Amino acid sequence: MVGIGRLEGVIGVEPVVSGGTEAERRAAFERFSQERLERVYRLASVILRDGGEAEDAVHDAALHAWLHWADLRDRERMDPWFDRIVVNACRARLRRRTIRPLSQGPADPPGPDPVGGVLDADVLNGALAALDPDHRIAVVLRYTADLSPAEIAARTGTREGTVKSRLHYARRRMRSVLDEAERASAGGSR
Amino acid sequence: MNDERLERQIKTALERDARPLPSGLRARVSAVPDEVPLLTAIRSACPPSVGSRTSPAMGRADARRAPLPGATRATATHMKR
Repeated sequence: MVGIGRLEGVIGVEPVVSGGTEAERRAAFERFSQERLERVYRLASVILRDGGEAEDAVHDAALHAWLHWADLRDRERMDPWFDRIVVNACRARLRRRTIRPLSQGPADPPGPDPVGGVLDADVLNGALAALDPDHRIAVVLRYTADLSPAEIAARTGTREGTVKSRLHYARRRMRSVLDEAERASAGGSR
Repeated sequence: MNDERLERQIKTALERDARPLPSGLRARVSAVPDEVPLLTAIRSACPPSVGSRTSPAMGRADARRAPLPGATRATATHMKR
């Protein structure tokens, strides 16, 4: 899996961010947004756990990005900049609603589970969904997009230490949930 | 449970939430530059909503200072303190 951070500098994007004609700016924005669409949609769908909401969040983010397209000066910062807009759009939506409860599960049937049991994945999925939005976002950026704490900090507008703390808390919570499920499972099988 | 196994489990759990790109999203995003003039036109054509403290010409700082509808002079004086 290629993480967001790994994509930086790999894709040959030479956008005309400012200056140029309106048609050139549009073409640059079109190329920029379309090349990243699949990746940011995937990210949004994991953060929000809802395909429809992820679609709206990505659309909102694209609108925001276009409105500020002319302000963007540093081409090296384009990926973190766009990711941050997407993350902010997702965070706003997460805060406006309660995440889908575990009993409803994800909208699509889960794929094959190569690592743990289905029980573990279900338990973890529910626990991840119950995390505070900022903690969930940090976890998704770390484990879905393979970003380092510094890269996550750049995309969430926080300090690296804060990201590390959120990841630590989330891992501790996940571990405790899994341990508890294992104990319950062992107790039930006696 | 060791860290490596825990992290694999978290990745697997998150993978279950990933969705494939919906077919209409590319076109929706492509249309974004065309939406902006439309949105601007709609906003400028609409009067401030009922109960709104702001008008199009009013900045955020002005909005903070503006008294709520129905506020008396005493309320405004109290708010300044």
